[in-house]
Amino acid sequence: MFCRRSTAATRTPPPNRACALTGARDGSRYRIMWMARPGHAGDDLWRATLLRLEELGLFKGALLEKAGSLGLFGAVIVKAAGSRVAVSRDLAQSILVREAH
Amino acid sequence: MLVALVGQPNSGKSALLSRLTGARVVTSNYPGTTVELASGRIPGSDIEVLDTPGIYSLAASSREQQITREVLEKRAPDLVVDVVDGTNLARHLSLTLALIRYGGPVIIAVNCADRLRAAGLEVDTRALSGRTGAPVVATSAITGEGVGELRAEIQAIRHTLGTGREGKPGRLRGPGSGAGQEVTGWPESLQALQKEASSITAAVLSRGGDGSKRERPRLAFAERLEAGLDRPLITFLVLGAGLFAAWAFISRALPFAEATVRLLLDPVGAYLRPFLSAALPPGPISETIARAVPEGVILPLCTVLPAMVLTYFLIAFLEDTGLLGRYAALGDTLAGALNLPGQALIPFMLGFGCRVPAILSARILPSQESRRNASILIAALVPCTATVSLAWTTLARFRGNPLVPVVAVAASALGLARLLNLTSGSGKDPLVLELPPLRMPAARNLAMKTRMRLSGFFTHVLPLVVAMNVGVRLFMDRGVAPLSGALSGFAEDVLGIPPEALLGALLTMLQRYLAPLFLLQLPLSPREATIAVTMVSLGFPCLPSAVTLWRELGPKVVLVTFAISTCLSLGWGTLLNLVLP
Repeated sequence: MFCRRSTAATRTPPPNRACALTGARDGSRYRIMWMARPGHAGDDLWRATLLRLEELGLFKGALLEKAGSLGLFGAVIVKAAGSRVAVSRDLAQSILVREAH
Repeated sequence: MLVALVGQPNSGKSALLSRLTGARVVTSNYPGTTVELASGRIPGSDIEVLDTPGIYSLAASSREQQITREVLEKRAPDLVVDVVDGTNLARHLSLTLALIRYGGPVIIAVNCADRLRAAGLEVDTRALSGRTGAPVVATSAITGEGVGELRAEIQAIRHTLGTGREGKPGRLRGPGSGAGQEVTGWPESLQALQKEASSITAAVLSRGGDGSKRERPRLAFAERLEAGLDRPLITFLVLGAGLFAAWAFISRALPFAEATVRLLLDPVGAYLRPFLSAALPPGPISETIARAVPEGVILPLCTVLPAMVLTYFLIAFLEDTGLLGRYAALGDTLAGALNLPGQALIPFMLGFGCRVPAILSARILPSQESRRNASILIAALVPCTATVSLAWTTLARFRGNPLVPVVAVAASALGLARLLNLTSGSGKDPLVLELPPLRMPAARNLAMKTRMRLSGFFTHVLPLVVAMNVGVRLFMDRGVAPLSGALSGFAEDVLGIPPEALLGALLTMLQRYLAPLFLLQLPLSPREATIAVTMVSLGFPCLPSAVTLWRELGPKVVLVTFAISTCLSLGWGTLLNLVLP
C-alpha cells in the first residue's frame, strides 16, 4: 500500500514514500505533508484556496482518503472530515501526501 | 427580535426557515444554494428569522459568505440559531464553537435527525449542550421533527431578552470586542476549533440502534452509488446518461406540452380579441391594443411556458439529487477550457433556466475575476429557457439549421473566455468543492420549486410583456416603416435578414419573450431563420439580467457585456450571411 507508480524511475517505490495526491492509490488513507502553491495562483487566491481547503478538513497533518479521480485530467475526489471533496487536478498535484498507517 | 439562521453550506437552513416561518424559499442539495438573504416571521410573534448563505468558518472567503459575516457584524442579530448537519457533526461543530465564542446567545439545531437515526446514530443533545453551553434541539427540516421545540426555545430566549433590540444584554459582539478576534484568526485557530469539535463529537455521538429497516437499503444504495461516482467510467456513464435522458425528456415532452397549452389557450385568445374590441372605444389605437394584448399573453405562454416548466423541473431534480455538484466536479476540465473552475458549471446550468439567479449564483466562485468572467459569459452566451424555446419554435417552424446557433455559441464561449482571461491575467481558480450526498428528491419539493420559480414569470414577466407588446405594436403600426427603411440596407445586405427580424433581435434587449412575437410572424426562409436565431442566441442580455449584472459587478461590466454581445451578434450575422448557402 503505497503511492501509485507514476514514472519508470519510480516503478517500485518504497512504502511510506511521499507523493502527490494525484499519484496516490484510490481507497487508501494518507496524511497531508505539504501543500505547494501552484504556479499561477496569486497571493489572495492561494490564501483563499488554503482557507477553503482547511475549512473542509484539508490541511498539513490532516488525514484523508483518496476516493478516486475523474479521468486522466479530471478532478481528484477525497474523503476528509466526513465529506467528499472534489479538488482540481492541478491543485491535487501540488498536495504532497504520505500513506497513513 | 432578529434571529439569524447560520450554518455550514447544505445544512438545511433554508428548509428550517421554511418550517419555522412558513416562508417559501428555494431549498436544494448542494452547497451554495442560498446566495442572498431570505427572511420570514414566526407566525403570531414579532420574531424575524433571517436565512443566511452557508459559511464554513467565520473567516469568510467568498462573496456569499461575506454576506453572512456582514449580517453577524452589522445587523447584530439578537439570537443565532446554528444549524448543523447531524450526519457530519464534527466538521459542523467547528463553526458552532466559533459562533459561541463570537458572543451572544446561540441555539444549536442538530438537523437531519431523521437521516442520523436511519444511519443508526444518535446525538446526546444534553451532553452536547453541557459541552458547548448552548441549548441544543434535534430537528429535521424535512419531516418537521423538533421544529416546535426549536420555536419554543427561541420564544424562551426572546422573553429573557425583553422586547427592545437596543442595549439589551447578550447582543452579539463583533470582532474587536474580545472573543470575536480570537476565533477569526487564520489559520491556526480554525484547526484548533476542528480538533475541539472532533473531541466533542466523539463524546456525544453514539450508535443508537440499527437504524430504520426501510431506510437502510436506501442509504446503502446511495453509498454504493457515491463510491461508484468516484470512478471516471461510471461517472461518465451515469452523468452522460442523465444528460441524454434530460434531452430526450424535453424533446419528447415539449411538443406535447406545447400542443396542450395551445389547445387550452386558443379559445381564450379567440374570445379576448373581440371582447377588447367591443370594450374599447373604436379607433386604430384600440384596434392595435385589442390585437396586442391577447398576442402578448398567449404567444409567450404557448412557446415559452412548456419549455420553462420542463427546464425548471429538471434543474430542481439535479439540485435535489446532489448530481449538480457531481456535474461540477466532472466538468472541471471542461470549465478549464473557459478558464473557470468546475463549480462555475453550477451557475451555468442554472442559467439554462433563467440568467438572473445564475448571475447571482456566480457568487460561489472563489475570485472576483472568475465571478466577473462567469457572469459575462452567462449574460452574453448561456441561452435561457426563453431563448431556447424561441430558437426551438422558430427553427422548427421555418426549418432552420439548429446546429448553427449551437456551434456559434460554443465557439463564442471559447473565444470570449480566452479574451477575458487575457484581460484578467490570472490563471484558472482551483476547484475545491464539497460534494453533496446523493439523495432521492422529494416530489413535493420538486413541484414547489418549479412552481416558485414559475410564479415570477406570471407576476413580473407576463404583465411586462403584454405592456411592452402593446407599445411595440403601436410603434410597429405607426413608426416602424421609416425605421425599417433605415435598417433595411444593413439588415438585408450585411446580415441577410429582413429589417423586422433585426428589430426582433434588438428587442430581446428589453425582454427575451418579445422576440417570438416578431420572428414567428415574419415570412422567413430557413436561411434567414437560422441567421436570426443565431443572432438572438448571441444577443444582448435582457433588461433583468443587465440590472442584476449592474448590481453585482457594476456599470462597467454591463457596458462591456453589451459591447461584446453587439460584436458577437452582428459579427456572427455577417459571417453566416457570407458562409451559409
